[in-house]
Amino acid sequence: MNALSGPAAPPVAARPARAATWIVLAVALASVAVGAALHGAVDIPLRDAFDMLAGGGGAGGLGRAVLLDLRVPRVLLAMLTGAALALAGAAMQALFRNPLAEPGLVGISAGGALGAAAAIVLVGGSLWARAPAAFVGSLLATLLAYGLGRRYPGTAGLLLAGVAINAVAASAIGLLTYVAGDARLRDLAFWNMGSLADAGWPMLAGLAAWTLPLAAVLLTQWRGMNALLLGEREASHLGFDLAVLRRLLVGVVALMIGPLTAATGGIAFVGLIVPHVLRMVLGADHRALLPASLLGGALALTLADWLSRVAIAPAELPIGLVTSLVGGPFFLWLLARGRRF
Amino acid sequence: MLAADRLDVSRNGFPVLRQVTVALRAGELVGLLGGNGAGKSTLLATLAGELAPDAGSVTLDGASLAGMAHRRLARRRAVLPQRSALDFDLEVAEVVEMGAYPFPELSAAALAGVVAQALELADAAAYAGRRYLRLSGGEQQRVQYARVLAQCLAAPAADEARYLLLDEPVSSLDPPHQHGLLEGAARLARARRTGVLAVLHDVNLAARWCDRLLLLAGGGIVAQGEPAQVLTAANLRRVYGIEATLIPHPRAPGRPLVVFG
Repeated sequence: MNALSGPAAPPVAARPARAATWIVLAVALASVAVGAALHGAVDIPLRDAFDMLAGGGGAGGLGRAVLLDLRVPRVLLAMLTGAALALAGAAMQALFRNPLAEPGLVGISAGGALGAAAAIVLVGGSLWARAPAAFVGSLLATLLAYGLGRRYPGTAGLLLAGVAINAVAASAIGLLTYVAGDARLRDLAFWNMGSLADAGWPMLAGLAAWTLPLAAVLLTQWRGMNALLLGEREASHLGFDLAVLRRLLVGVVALMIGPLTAATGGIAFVGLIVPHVLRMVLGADHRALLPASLLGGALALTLADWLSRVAIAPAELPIGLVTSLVGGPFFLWLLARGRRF
Repeated sequence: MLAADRLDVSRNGFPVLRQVTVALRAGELVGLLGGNGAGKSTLLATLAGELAPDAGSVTLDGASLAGMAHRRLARRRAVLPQRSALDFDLEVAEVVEMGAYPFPELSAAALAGVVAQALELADAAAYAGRRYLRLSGGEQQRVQYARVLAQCLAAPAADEARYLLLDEPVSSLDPPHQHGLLEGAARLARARRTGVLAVLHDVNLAARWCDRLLLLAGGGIVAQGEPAQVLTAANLRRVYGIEATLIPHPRAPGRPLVVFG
């Protein structure tokens, strides 16, 4: 440890050690990921899984295909999406200086969804068309929410802007369903419910190569996010160029969330709940909060996806439904509790 | 030297400062006095590089603030705003540490030393491990003061002079801490090549500890100089619009004591 100099070294914090929290989250994530990969409509014993990974026959072709072609990429996509959503939520909360900011609530996800839906209906459903369109939609929604939200003090302006953006996006998506042809309408309907089911290795590789570097950029911005908590004036006194910092955070979040929304559909509340719970444990310092949000978001969405697969097996629930079922009541509880952080 | 030359500044289209020329030198504590709405905070924000003047210039050692990078400016000057809007759950030491953000090159040990020293100087060392939001208003103000002190202390000792701009730093403090803060600021100014400018409302507090006073009224400078020279019944009438009697401070030779009314 570093020796503390000076007459009054700060005493050890009463909060749990950051490293301990990270380790607990990482271990929980690994366990849940293994559980989710093995358990489902087809159960795969752990010993067989090792055999398959080692290249042996194991339980035969079906188990191997289920594990390697369906479950593992799906679990990895859940981890990637959850991590990105939670990280984006934490970044938005710092940018808006508001613990209730979340890509879903303030309309960033809805903007992305509108972009993706427009791409599906107008040019067909490939991810390569949906992703850039979703990015543009997310970016516009973020700028709108930020511009409107800042005009009113506190939470009200931001949430009202979110309500309006969500409503506009929903009605525009509704309009698109009217003009869509039959085949594209079906694509749109499946996509809109939100699912990680069509995760495959090529899609996963593309999304990971896109998302992980952006997540790394956000992780480096913990100083700027902390400074924003003090206030915008204070952040600029501390040497942060606010215009640059804002553009960076808004741009990176939209770049990250847009294509993920295009791939997985709308998944709400992960970006709200995960940073919120972790802030209660670790405090608001982003140096601890951002890595923990990454792990916690991955954990939360992997759990939610597991639940969506097994709750009414052999059928599946849309994952967006699962996160909203848990997240909606949590959000109500936050509101009932009042602003005590 | 942090210098403003013939500043005209307006806010929301209304002129606030007219033809203001001031200079803050390393090693001195300067008190900025004036009635409500006289333009004190506007002058402070302009000197901080936060507001661009309509006319005139602000320079730091001859270089205009207008073209200076944020980080470079933050390594030379720190600002304590009037109010803090922090309502996220941070520990006191985490808040103070932010003062050192313009100096990411500091080692963890050096950073801990800066934080401890700043907390000590602000008489806030007792709550280093506590949560900021659970402190009283006066305690929070001392923590914010420790944060801006850390921004000064984190600068390399052999570096150029630094400037500390404090907007009503004692507004929530009890009398012993009001005196303690200004006495400490005067000492810091001399010991660490720092120029300190503090907006104050307590004329006697300013007269007791400041090297120079700056009297502002109606957006212009009424007088500037040593407390005994500028604190006159005529000047105080122009600044505050009330009658004042001046007597020598019984325990601080050369310092005036002002009795209003």
